[in-house]
Amino acid sequence: MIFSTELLKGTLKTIVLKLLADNSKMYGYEITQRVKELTGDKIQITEGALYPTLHALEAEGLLTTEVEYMGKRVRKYYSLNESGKARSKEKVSELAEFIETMTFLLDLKKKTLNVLPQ
Amino acid sequence: MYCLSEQQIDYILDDIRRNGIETEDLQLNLLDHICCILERTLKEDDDFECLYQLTVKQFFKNELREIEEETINLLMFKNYYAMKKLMIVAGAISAAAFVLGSLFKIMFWPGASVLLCLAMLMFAVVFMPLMAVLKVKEKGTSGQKFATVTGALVAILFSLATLFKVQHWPGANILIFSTIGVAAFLYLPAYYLAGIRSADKKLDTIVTSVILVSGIGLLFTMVNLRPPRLAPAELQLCYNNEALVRNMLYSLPDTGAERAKSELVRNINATCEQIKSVIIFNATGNKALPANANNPQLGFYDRPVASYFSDDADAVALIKKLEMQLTQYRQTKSTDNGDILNIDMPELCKFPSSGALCLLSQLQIYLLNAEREKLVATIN
Repeated sequence: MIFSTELLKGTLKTIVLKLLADNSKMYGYEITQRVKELTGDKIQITEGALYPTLHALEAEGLLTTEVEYMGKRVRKYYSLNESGKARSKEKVSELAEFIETMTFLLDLKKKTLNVLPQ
Repeated sequence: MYCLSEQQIDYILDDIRRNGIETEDLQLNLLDHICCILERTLKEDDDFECLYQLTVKQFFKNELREIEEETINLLMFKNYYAMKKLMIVAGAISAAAFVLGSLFKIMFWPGASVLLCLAMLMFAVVFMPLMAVLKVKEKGTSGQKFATVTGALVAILFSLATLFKVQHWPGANILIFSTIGVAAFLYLPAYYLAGIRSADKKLDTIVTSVILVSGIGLLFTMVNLRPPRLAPAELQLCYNNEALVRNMLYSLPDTGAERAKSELVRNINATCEQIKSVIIFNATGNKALPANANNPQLGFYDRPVASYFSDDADAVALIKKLEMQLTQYRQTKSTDNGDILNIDMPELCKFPSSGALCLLSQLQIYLLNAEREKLVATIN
């Protein structure tokens, strides 16, 4: 099963930030491939969503970039700076909380007494 | 692993550019990405172009340009709040400067025009463009967005036209005509068509359109298509000057040795008449003023002489001749005659047609009068 882009839309920034936090520097194609590998092809980031997100993160001042020239091609590596690292943590914990809440809301786990309001 | 040739890389980059990716950063990102994919999937005997097209198709829903648009969208959104804030601040400054400037103007305090110009600039250069950009980013049909943009353009053009007009900068008239043109032929139809389709806005749209038409009509009424026509009373002054010149010319000695003494003044007089004839032709279409100042057919369009003198080789030559004759005349005089004898092209170009006529007639009267006084002195 491949998840729909609708579902991925709100989480893409978090995914990219987390990947960059775990790897010192990555380029666009590498990011898409890594996500594919890690999720067993379940999540496939489209190029049409990845690059706008990368540029937006760069404009927000969360990324540092490094350029490598390969003949006629130029490869741009992205890595997190200090505020990027902080944002990555925030975003991941925010999403984790969200997942927990969704699990509860959609009743995916047996409700336990301490989560259920009295 | 397949290795892409330089031609193939150029081909890909060209194709990316052709398909609407304009940001260089994004071009290079996509180029590298596509190259990575192709290097993995291409086999020696595969068709490169065919596989490339298949690959790039996975990047978008309808066209490649979407990626560029999405990028710009995300970047814009980041600045959205800053832009909104700046718009509000600029709007507040502009409004305050308009109110204060008007107050200063009424009270004849210094600084009124500075405040009013600041207000117009703030409004035209900061507030309206930001308003248009932010409005366009909001949801709406493309028709509504087009109306917003053209509406902002009308407001910008109108305030710039006003600014140019009061500062006497060249181009004010072009700006006013552009304002009217854009308002009547772009904004009004766009606004009407965008609003008339929705049932709940229909009446509002019709009412506002009528108000807009009236506004454009009023503005157009105020515009002079031809240069201003000289009022009959002012024209009378020109006629009086002419009568004075003619009258004084009669009193000069007209025969023999006596005439030779006033030869230079007669020549200057003739040159002045020729220059005046050029001015009169440009103002009325006739070589000389008609006999009667109250002739209702007479239209004296008081354009600045600068608008037709500089392109007219004959006029330039005549004025050069006059300058030389005046220099000659000044050399025969020991007394200081002030500015009345200093007429040249820059001096004339400061005046409208009627003013230039007056200047030349005054010169003639001055010289003829001086000659007559000399004559009276010799008789006594």
